[in-house]
Amino acid sequence: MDNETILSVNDLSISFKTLNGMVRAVRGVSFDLKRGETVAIVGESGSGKSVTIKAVMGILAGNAVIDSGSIMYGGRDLIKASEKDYQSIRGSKIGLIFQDPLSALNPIMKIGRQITEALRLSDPKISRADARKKAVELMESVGITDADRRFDQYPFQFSGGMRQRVVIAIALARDPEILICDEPTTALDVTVQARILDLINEIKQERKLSVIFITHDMGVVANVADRINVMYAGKIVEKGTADEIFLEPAHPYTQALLAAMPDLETSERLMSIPGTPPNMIFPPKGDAFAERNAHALEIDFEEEPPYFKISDTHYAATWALHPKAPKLEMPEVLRNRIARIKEEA
Amino acid sequence: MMPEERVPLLEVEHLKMTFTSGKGAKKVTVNAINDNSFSIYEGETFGLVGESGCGKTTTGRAIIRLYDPTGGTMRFMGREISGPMTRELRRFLTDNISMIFQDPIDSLNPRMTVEEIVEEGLKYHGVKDPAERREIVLDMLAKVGLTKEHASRYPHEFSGGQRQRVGIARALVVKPKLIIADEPVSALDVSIQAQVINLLNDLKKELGLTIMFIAHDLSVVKYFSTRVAVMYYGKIVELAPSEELYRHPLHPYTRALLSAVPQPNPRLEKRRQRLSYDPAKDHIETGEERRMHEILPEHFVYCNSAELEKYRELL
Repeated sequence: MDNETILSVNDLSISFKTLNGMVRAVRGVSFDLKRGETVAIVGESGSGKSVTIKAVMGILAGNAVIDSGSIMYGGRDLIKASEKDYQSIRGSKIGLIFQDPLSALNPIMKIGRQITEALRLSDPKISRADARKKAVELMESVGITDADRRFDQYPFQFSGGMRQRVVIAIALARDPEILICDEPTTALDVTVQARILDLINEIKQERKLSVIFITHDMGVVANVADRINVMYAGKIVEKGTADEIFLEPAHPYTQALLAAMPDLETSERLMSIPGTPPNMIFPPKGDAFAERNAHALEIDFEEEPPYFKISDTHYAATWALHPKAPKLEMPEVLRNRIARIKEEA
Repeated sequence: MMPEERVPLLEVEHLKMTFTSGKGAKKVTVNAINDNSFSIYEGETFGLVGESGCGKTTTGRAIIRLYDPTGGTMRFMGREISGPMTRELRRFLTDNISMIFQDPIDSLNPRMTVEEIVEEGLKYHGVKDPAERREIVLDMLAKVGLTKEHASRYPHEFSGGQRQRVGIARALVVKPKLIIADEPVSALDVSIQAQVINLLNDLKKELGLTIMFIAHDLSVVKYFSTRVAVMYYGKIVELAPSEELYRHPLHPYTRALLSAVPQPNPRLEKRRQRLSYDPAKDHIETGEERRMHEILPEHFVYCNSAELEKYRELL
């Protein structure tokens, strides 16, 4: 992996105009994507992860306002790019895979045509036979067997996992260098999910893709991610390598998120996070997680914490890392799990 | 607890559920539940796990008789409940079995207040005095972590986790003997999931509940259940105490399922070999009919004798 940064999001803030007021959906998000790596953005529903990548794709809803920030790609700022500029990027340079493969596909168009449609966008002069040949190759490369026959079938004739493979084939048709996956396996069964994750990992290697992976599932993140950004209430609260986030989580929210899910070894009581995420029309002063954090300090309610550096790759925005703060005690279930993981190694 | 001491609350034998659609040459028959037998003992949590379409929800619904089973017998509290439906049997079932549903939005009437929702069951349960009902309802709401102020609100005013608490209160208020929880946490965010699982765990201890827990997330099922049954295409293929099932998965489908569950452990995930299950290749065909064999005490696996030998070697 070379260390060239291919996409860089800096201090991005996005609000939505609603009847009740401005919803501050994304608040100062920064992350880099390096060539050949997978960066994950993890968070619960409403944390702003999907909005962030919609901004990257230039497909924000009409009532969205970009308050500040930049999205640097190929030497220019995508926020300032016109719709016409975007048309040469969207799909051809940056591909997108959605959560629900059924609504991503046109139900009354044959699978094959949905793939050749994408091929034609890149190469309008491609002959019908060539397009078909290419599409069948793509279908085979994403693990659709009997591709030549299935080329003429409709989406309803495919199972959930196969549909997601078709969506991946369409995304790959234009040979993008960045692939954004927005919860691509959430709607799928675990065994199918495992196969799709394997496929994404494989095509990433083969095509030297850089991947941004959005999910709420920490198990899935552990599988795919090189680096992880944990989002809460529109902000990245912790970022680090996969090992750092799972073995040395520093932000109370990251810890809580990990301690709230059982793994196959868990027998201790789960840590439940009391309450619900804050209303982002009135973002709380200070640390947005403070209200739900049993170990919150006084300053958590007063002042927004800066990013504290833990290592060159590991940062967390929490006052718990301030030298004067009392040491944060990890939840038991998480402490035991980390001990187990370290023992195995 | 020794097996002999346990009292079966629900005994299901050879349960079959077939759905048909179309007529004549176009007739399609689906065996949603294909000859399953199991018991649920008093005080235990019986986990039923499988992928979408495997028949786990149908099993739950057949037990509470939302569907009429095509075949088999079911006995609940010693009484046969698989016979023809009568008013009296319906009454017996609704008095003693409650359901908690997956989607806390769709399963609550948007035009009823929380109090009315929770109270409704009590009315049919024969609590005539409104003051007494109110007292029971408020007490139940407190048990699930809601307050008096919540009672007069409508479902849309609540978050997902709180709505699921209302669903749990509604299910528990009639003091059912058995609760069928059909994917009660899968629509919730992780942090809220833990709240609901912890709540159910506390209530289980406090009230001595018997729960049939239907879910697709093996980590959650294993964490929450005493025994777990794994279902594949309408058939229970393996049934064992949850720890045992996880330590010694025998049926190739169980093994594939376990190998696919994503774990919050990057070192494990990155080098993990996933198994895939191919019913055509992973079995030994001897022509002998498969049935449930008890390979270890309490550990059942669906196989023929040749496979049983193979599985014994795996132990």
